[in-house]
Amino acid sequence: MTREQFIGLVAEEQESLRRFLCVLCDGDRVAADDLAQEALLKAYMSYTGFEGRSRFSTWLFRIAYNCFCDWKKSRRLPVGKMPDDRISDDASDKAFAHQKLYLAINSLSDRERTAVLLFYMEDKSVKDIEAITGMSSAAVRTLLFRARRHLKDFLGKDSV
Amino acid sequence: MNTDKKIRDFFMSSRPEYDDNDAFMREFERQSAMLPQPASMNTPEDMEKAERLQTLRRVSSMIRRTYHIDAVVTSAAAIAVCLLCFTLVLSATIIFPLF
Repeated sequence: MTREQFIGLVAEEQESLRRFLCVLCDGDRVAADDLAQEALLKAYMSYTGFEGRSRFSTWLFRIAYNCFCDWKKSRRLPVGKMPDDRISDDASDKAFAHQKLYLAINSLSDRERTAVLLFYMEDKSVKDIEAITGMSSAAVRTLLFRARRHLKDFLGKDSV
Repeated sequence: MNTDKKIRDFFMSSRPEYDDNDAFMREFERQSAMLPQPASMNTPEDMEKAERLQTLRRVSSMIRRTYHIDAVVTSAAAIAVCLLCFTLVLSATIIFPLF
C-alpha cells in the first residue's frame, strides 16, 4: 500500500475516530484530536503490523482506544467526572449542544461508555468491539445490557 | 418504540459533528511527512532502488574480499623474504667468520 492510499483510508475514518475519542474525553476536542493524531501516526509507522485479519477501521480504533487508555491513566480522572472546562467554555456552543449526550453517559463506567459509543454511535458490531477493546463477546454483551437499561431510564425521564 | 432503535436514534442525533476535516488531514499529512516512510509503503521505484543498492553492496564486498586475499598473500611473501634475508645476514656475520 502506498502512502497516498493509506492517507485516503485515514480520510474516510478520521471523523468517526475523532468523534469517538471526543465523547470518551468528555467533549475535550483538543485532547481528542491530539489523541487521534497520535493514534494515526502510530498506525502509519506500524502498518506492517496490520495483518488484514480485521478491517482497517477496527485496527485504527484499537490503536486509538489504547492511546485513550494510556492518556486516561496519566490524567487519573475519576469515573463519571465532567470536566468544568467543558461546561464553562463560552466559546464552544457545540459542547453545550451535546450536553444531553454527556449527561446520558455520565454515570456509565468507562467500559460501558466505550461499548455503548462503539455500538450505538459508531455502529460497530459486537465482534468489532471485541477486537477494538480486547474484551470477550460475553463481556461486551453484558456491558451493553447494563448500559441499555440505564439509557432507557434516562431517555424515559427525558421525554417526560 | 423499540429501545435499541430509540437509543441509536438518540446517539445519532446527539453526536458531535465536525467541519474541520480538511485541516485535520492537512495536519496529519504534515506530521507523517516528517517521519521516515515505513518500508511497507515503498513504491515499486523504491524497491528497484533498494535492489540496485543491494547489488552494489554485493559487488563491493566481493572486490574487498579479493583485495583482502591478495593483501594476505603479499604480506606472507614479504615476511618469508624478510626471514630469508635475516637468516642470510645472520649466517654471514656469525657462521662465515668461524671459517
